[in-house]
Amino acid sequence: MSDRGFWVRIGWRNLGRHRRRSVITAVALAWGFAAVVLFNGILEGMGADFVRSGTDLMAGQLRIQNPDYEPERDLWDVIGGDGGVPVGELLDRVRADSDVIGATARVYGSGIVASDSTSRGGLLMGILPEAEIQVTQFLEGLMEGTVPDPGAYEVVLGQELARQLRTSVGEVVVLVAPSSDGSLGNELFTVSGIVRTGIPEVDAAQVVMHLDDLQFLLALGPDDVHEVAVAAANPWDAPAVAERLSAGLADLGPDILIEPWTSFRPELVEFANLIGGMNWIILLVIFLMAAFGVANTMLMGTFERRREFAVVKALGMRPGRIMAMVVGEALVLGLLAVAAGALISLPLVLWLIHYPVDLTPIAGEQMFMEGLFRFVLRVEHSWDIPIRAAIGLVITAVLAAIYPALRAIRVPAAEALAGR
Amino acid sequence: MTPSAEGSARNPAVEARGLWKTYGEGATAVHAVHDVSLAIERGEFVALCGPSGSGKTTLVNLIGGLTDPTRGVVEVDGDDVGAMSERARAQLRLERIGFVFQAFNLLPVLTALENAEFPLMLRGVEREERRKEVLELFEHIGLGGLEDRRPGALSGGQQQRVAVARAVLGAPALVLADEPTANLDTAASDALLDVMELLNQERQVTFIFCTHDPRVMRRARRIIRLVDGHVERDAEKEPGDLPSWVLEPVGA
Repeated sequence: MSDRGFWVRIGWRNLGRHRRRSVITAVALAWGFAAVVLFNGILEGMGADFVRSGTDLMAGQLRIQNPDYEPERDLWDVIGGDGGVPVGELLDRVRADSDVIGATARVYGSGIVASDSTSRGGLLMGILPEAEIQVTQFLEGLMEGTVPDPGAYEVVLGQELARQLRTSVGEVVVLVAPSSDGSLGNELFTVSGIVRTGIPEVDAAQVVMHLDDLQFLLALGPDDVHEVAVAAANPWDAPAVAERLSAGLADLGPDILIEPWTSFRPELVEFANLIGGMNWIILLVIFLMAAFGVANTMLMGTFERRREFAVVKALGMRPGRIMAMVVGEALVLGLLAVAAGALISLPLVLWLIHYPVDLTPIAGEQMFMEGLFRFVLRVEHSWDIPIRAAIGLVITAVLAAIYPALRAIRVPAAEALAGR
Repeated sequence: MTPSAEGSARNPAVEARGLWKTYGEGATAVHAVHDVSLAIERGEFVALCGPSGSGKTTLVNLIGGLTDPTRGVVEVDGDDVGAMSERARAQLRLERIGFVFQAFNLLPVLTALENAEFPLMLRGVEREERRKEVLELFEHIGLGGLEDRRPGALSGGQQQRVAVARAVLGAPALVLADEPTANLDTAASDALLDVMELLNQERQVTFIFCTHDPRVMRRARRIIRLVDGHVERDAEKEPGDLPSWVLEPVGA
């Protein structure tokens, strides 16, 4: 066995001298490791769910617009500028990216919606229903009726808007909207469905129809769209996808801006960063407690072994080596704790990755940052968390042993050998 | 200061000049070692005797660099121990000094063999080589077959022999032994002294014993008697003799 094995053996045996104390410390560290892995995993899962709910409901993970479209949202600021872009080709090229799972085109406008009894202001949204459901979830909130068919002049109304208009599926409403050519477009539409997104301002104003119908109402051409919404397989890949698409679609002219959600929903990024910060705080608090545990164990060991440290000094052991010996014991303790912590936490983590616990029946659904958040106890699959926790724990154990090691170095040999 | 071996040819193994070690200050000051000057040549077999509290252990600790002198100089092979850094002192002890303690002071988590090979390992001697040396010496001093026992499973005599093996392996120039026979019976003491005497004669290892034991003093070829931290008497003698003055009470 090598000399390294000799030192590991010494560390192991020294820990074994006070087995109960060492086991208690190692178990406490192991629970600390398990707590960090679980809490961090659950928080990461919540963060990922927040991001998904914030982008999946309406926005998508990427959007393509005319650079001038936001924030005024003028009707004529369509993708590609005057003349627009071949929408079908644009969608096909976007969908060709391996990280893209769906893309859909949209037209936006605003106008007056009038029923038999009253009228309200409405946010008009023209969609491609079949493509839309591959990108966002808001049509999953269709409470009754069907999605609008092209050319049938059908609309889906937000639940609150329909209530205020005192209208229902099958009835007719009138839409009046300023068109891109300066005229005032107006048309009769049949209410084909009622949708509830859970976002009050959307439910009170949303008027959804087929893309073709809104283009007609607003006097836009078939290549004139205001937005292409894109769904990415992994939300965190969106910035990279945006870069790729920007390069790949450069030939379509300068009037195309491709942005990931991290750019047009910065508040979600801030929230994700907040979650990351909470993770670090949890890590810090738990490892600080672990550090005190290790320091206490090692310090007691140092006091009890004063004479032994004096002996090894007398035998010619250099201060650095004495330090390494004490720190090595903490390292063995830390590695043991990581192994035990992994045994405790990994089965739970794997369970919560594959079988999330839905707490919605207890906690309900919450609107949060324009997303519908469901309380699901789910651990985000990530090797970073256990690896970070393991490294953190071992470093904590080693750092916590430095003070006891310095005490060991400073043991006055002559006095300690004399039992003073 | 880094210990150098070149001084060993011309310098005494140990030299103390005006050496003091004082604990406390003012009226409560205790002079454990009080103006000691002496020189011990290479290959000497010296017994430091004197009543308890006379400063024997403190003097040995000063020579070994385990404590700092308050005043004066102590040199090992010409190197001023008091002026050395902790690291340099550790190196000096590792390469040139072996310690034997009254209370054995074996490391309880190591086996007899691991205890004995410990300084060799610190020196970086290859495992096979150091184990060969340890096993040869163990056979020689009657520890054959006990290599894998922990100290708790050894008798006092066996433990002290392991401690001696630990001190002499690697042939240090100087062995400082503090009451090495105090906890041993006559047979074990004689066996241990035989080993040390042999090493002294065959390898010219310098031995300095702190002792109350007449058997050790009888074998020594020089006896230094300390009283109240001061050298009261320093005399060479023939091995086997035991001068009457070493047994006389202080002040007689």
